[in-house]
Amino acid sequence: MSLLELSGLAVHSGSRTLIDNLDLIIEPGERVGLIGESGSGKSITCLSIMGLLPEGLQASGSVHLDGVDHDLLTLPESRLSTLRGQRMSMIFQEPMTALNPLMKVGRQVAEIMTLHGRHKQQAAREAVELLARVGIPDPAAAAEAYPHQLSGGQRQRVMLTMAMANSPDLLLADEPTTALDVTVQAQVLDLMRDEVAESGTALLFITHDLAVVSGLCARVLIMRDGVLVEEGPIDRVFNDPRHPYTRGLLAASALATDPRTGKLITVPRAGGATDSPPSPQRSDDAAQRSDDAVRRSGPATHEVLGEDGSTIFNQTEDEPAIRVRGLSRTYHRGRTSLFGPRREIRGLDSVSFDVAAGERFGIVGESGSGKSTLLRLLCGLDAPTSGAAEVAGVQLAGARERGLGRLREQAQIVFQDPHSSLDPRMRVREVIAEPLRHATQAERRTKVADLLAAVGLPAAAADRYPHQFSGGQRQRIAIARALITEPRILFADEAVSALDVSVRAQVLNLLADLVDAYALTLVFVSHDLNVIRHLCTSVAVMQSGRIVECGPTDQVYADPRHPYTRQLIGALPTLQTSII
Amino acid sequence: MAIRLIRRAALFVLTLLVASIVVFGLLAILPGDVARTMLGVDATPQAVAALRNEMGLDRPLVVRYLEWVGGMLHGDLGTSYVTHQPVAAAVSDHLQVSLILVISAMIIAICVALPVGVFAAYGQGRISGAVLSALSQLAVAVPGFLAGLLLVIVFAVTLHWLPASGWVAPIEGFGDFLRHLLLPALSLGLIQGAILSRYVRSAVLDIMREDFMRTARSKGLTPFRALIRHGLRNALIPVLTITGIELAALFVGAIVIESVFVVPGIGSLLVQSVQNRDLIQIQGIVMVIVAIVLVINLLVDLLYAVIDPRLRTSR
Repeated sequence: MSLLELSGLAVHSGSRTLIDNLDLIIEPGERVGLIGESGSGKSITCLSIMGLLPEGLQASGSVHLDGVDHDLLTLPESRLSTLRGQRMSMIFQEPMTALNPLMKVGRQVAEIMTLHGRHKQQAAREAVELLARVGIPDPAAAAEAYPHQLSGGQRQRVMLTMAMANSPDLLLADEPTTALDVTVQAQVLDLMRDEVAESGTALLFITHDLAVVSGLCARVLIMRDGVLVEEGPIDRVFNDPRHPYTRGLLAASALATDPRTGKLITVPRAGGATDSPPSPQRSDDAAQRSDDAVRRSGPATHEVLGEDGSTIFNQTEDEPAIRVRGLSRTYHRGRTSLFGPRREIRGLDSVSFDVAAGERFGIVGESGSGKSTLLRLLCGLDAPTSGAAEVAGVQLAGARERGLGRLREQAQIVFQDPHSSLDPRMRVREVIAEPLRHATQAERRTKVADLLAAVGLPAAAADRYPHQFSGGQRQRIAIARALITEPRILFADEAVSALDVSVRAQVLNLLADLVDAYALTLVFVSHDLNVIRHLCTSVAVMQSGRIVECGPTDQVYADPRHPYTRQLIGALPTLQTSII
Repeated sequence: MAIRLIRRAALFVLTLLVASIVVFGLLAILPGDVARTMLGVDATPQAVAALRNEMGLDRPLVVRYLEWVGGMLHGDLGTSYVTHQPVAAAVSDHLQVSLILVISAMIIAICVALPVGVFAAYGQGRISGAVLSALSQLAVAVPGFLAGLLLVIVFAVTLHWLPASGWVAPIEGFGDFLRHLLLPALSLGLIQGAILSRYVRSAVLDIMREDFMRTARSKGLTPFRALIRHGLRNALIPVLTITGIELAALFVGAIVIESVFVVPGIGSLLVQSVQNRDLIQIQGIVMVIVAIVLVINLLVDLLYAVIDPRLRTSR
């Protein structure tokens, strides 16, 4: 008897079909990966099993759980709630918002036990033991803490503790490690594997990241637009994919390049048409500049942070596009005692490096490493505490907003989340043309049209609003907006992190083309080592506000010298596939 | 936490100081001379000047301000120009009545708003939710004095259950006190409760969309228990802000209701003082109301930290 049996599951929202005729069987103790991009219906599948579909969605078909004589889809709420948390439980993506911010961690863990019949004191005791088991330091203190006092990884451990507290038969994990840093992700994945193995719990692991399921699941399902397109043992699916979408997804996830064009392989769209825009034409002038730039910047040296912490990384002899010397940014926490010194947090700690003109410079690090602080300083969005920085010939330290006008023309930035970084009440034309202060209407019109063409959007897009576009298209708009002042330097802050893998490949191709065509210097900040490896010629690894290692990307990845770099590269989940 | 308290208290004193300057300054530049008003239009300039001198009105503004503030520090708000009684005594008498009225009204408002708001949100998309929502919206549109008059017509004029107006202090007979308190407190409280319930409803609706509510459901809590155990306290944070603002507004709203029900509260005293051009008494009353509003704000700020551990940044 299988543990869970979905047959002909369909979910509708009004007349829209979100999931169509889904069949799925999970055996007791089995670990299954459900893979799909955003909007594929993978989370909806999970919520239908739990009976937690948001209002307005109707499920049909049937969901059977072993030992329950009734279809879960029509089971009354009172009986469903006795199954939730007891026989099946769930872990969500965002550990900060998934825990009640006003309730102590220990009580939240104990609650799931008392709800299903455990005595109060016993549950409280067991909660501490369970927290100890998932490797939370000082579990007794953690039980008395509130969620905001724990780190992201610890919060997800708490979620896991909670979900596993009653040793359920089925654990549904919806992107549980997506919001975590790579090193933390590896730990949480290991822990999850151990926990489900020990209690014989079956796992349905939902993710967009193929590499994450590699070491975890025996069987995978690939889902697109509410339909299961492929399913099978993980080795077979990853090495011999039968559906073209699976093949495309694998290639896009591995950031595989087409040997003929040298570009990233993108996922074929449902209609068969590719979404890739024609490559932008590079002007002779720009080509000349970029070729010069490449010739002038000699091979960068591979260095590790010295004992005294004052190493100047990536030093160039020529005039660099960016020169940073001893740059620091210190933040103050509120006073905790009247007479004691204020607590200082070093967001950025005496960082020195050059970026040569025309270079593609990657900055990689985990959350809290100072990479975003550095980027904000370089864009003139924040002022350094000490040190000097010169970007495109503009001195940043001590500069007033008025004096930064030239910087804003010469250096532009593309942000992470294209959903929130574009003003929802401005038309695309206004969004893109806003940085142009003195241009006439006609000039604006032609420039916007040119840029829309360059980023592969139709000219008609100019009159629409940002919400009418998909995530990838919005990021193209953000890139067009950044390029309208014809900058020399383009900063990108996690510019592809919010995008689906298939879209990510397209945007990365576009960025690479534009950097060539406009002879840009690119500074790309990311937590994703694979993206940096593909896109950048040099890379700086940041930890605790410092650059700990820097050099040509190939050398740093092949021969990481700093222990932290080694740890980072070691934690990277690898996609075992032979199709490329 | 101690640091926060000290900082907040310092800010409180500073705001109070600024408020006293504004109150004093505004009334000082107001047209209309007290001495002339008291003596009437026929008074000779000499008589007016003599009275001004007697009342100390001919001295520089700064001296008068400092004297006033200095007096306030010992609880002395000066002597009324009209009744020649200490202002502080009159204010404290009337303030007691207003405090009782406003606090009762606030309790009624909260008792109405919490269940109505929660059930309106919980029943959203169902008939119960729509009915509660419509009723509260209707009540929001009714002015307080009109509600008061309606209540008088029903409970006093028609049913003869409760007195239509007047006031009895608690020590003179508790039952009578309650009977006189009920109608004014209800007409203030029901309307404020309706307004507050709109905020409760929207706060609860926001909370029901939160991730942790889904987590609570996935643990096996039924929707209603999840709302009570995990949702309510979170929803209380925005509601607290509004409650603080409403409480302050109630002191102002009470002025009208006190007139309707002939309740000897601070509002009635203020109206009376304005009619008599009793500047020193107006100053005192306004200052006391300002102080009360500031105290309410202070309490609300401190309560945030009690409800929300994220604001206790002592670690």
